[in-house]
Amino acid sequence: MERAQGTSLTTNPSAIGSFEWNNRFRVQLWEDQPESVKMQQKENDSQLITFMNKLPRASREWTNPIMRYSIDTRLDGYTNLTVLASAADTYLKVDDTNLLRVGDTIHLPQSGQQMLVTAVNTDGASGWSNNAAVANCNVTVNRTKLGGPAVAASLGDAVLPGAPYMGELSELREGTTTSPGEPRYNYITLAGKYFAMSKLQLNAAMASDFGTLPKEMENIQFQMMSAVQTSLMFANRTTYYDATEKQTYVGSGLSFQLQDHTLDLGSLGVAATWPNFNDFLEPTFESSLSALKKDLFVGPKLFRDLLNTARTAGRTEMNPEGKTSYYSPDLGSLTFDISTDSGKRVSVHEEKWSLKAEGLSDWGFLLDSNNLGGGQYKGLGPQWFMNLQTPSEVMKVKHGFFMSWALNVFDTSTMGIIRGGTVPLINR
Amino acid sequence: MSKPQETKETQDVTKEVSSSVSAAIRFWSTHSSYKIVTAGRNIAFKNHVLDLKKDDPDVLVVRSTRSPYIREVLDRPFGKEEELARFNKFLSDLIFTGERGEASKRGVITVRALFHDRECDDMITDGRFDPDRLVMRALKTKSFKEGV
Repeated sequence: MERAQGTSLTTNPSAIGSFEWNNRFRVQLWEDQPESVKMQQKENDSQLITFMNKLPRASREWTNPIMRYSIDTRLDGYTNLTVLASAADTYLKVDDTNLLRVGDTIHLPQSGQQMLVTAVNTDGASGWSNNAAVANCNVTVNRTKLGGPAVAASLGDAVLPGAPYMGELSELREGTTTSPGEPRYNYITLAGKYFAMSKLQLNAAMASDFGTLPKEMENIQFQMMSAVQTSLMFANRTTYYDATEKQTYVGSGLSFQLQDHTLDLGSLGVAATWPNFNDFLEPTFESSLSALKKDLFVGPKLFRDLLNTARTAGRTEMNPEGKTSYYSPDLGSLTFDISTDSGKRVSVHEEKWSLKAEGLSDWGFLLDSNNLGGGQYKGLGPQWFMNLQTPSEVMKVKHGFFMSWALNVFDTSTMGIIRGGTVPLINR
Repeated sequence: MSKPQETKETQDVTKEVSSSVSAAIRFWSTHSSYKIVTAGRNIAFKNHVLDLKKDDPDVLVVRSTRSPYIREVLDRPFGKEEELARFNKFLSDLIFTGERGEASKRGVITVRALFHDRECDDMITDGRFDPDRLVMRALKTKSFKEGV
């Protein structure tokens, strides 16, 4: 201790002793508790993974890195003329010859005609030319036996198979069979990250959780979930071999699998109207495998634009509290519900951070929980592997988070992607 | 590098089609039902294809999307060997998606859509398109305006 003279001040010139040594004797003042760190923004969200985990088919365990599945599609019960037919033509060209058999009747309702099928060719080399010299027609018909008009039929006219009429001593007519849907497959992806911490830091007393073991574990798990969510959206299916790491399997993400319905906001973006969105949404409900309600995960700009568009069109639905947008506790997202012109429902969820990047914030993924399957490899679900440090790393701890997953789209016609548009004009 | 030599078969097919479609632009997408928002409506691809007249204002709208899933189909082959190789890889990746490299129906439908109705009639065997011939025909007669 030393003697000193003068007024005690909050500053600490070296001559004045009470607060010298860099405020060493001054109590630190915190606006709140020192461990309460106000995050400016949450780092990311992983509500898509939360959604995947809640799927009806989410909890399956697979025992092979390659999984196979198949989806059958409903077949149309009609076909169309691919070339026009004159009033005298007995050779027709239709889009789907597998629908017709010898002895079938066909109806062309648009021109009010009925015909009897006398021959069908399926190899495209029939040698049958109609009166307009169109080669390789694929159906031969009798236009007089069944009576009725024989007039010209237009390109694209519907051709409907009718009943195969039988006479007193007729035999049964041959029918058409079906084959299973196209086989599909996907891979199960493995991925993991680790962190290391010195044992000095491990046992250090910290004022907040930063730098502590629980916080580091949280960080790593969070990073993994965010990265996996990105893969769930954008990964392309592939597999490759590395001499050291051996075979790697990468399962396909949504954008790789959803190749049916795409709505491109083009150069309009923010000016898209309700009919634009409705025209995209309605066909995704056509399949009999479709759920009655779908979930649309969108970036923040599309969330705002679609909400405004649906509000203007009167297509938003109120929640029980009388609000259009609400916090969805199941997914942890801001959500609103819309109904299409034909009354099908879609819940729109804001992917506030993971689709925040410029150019992605007006993207959206329309998902159908009935047609998605998720799961993990047996024994390799999300888990921590502890103490991965080598025996010589005596001053370190090293822990890693690992998971395996796959996301399978079954009926792709029930889902779709919205791609971004222009950056909106902002009035200031 | 010289232009790949066309077979008589290819020349015939190209000639037959060119007269009917010369005034049209064919946009093609790997996605079967691609829709592009424009004022009051959507410009819609049907079965991977959108045919427009050259002076149709929608042509500019489609081009302006610069979508990686939309290509403008030209009725002539790529001129350079490297382009043909990339085109071959591109088409093969679309068609031969089976676990053992077998052709998928979906892929055949997608590549078939590059062609006009009557360009592929001679490639049907037992009601199905021969996927290998389909790729070869595309290599010999089609290319993308924006390259591959």
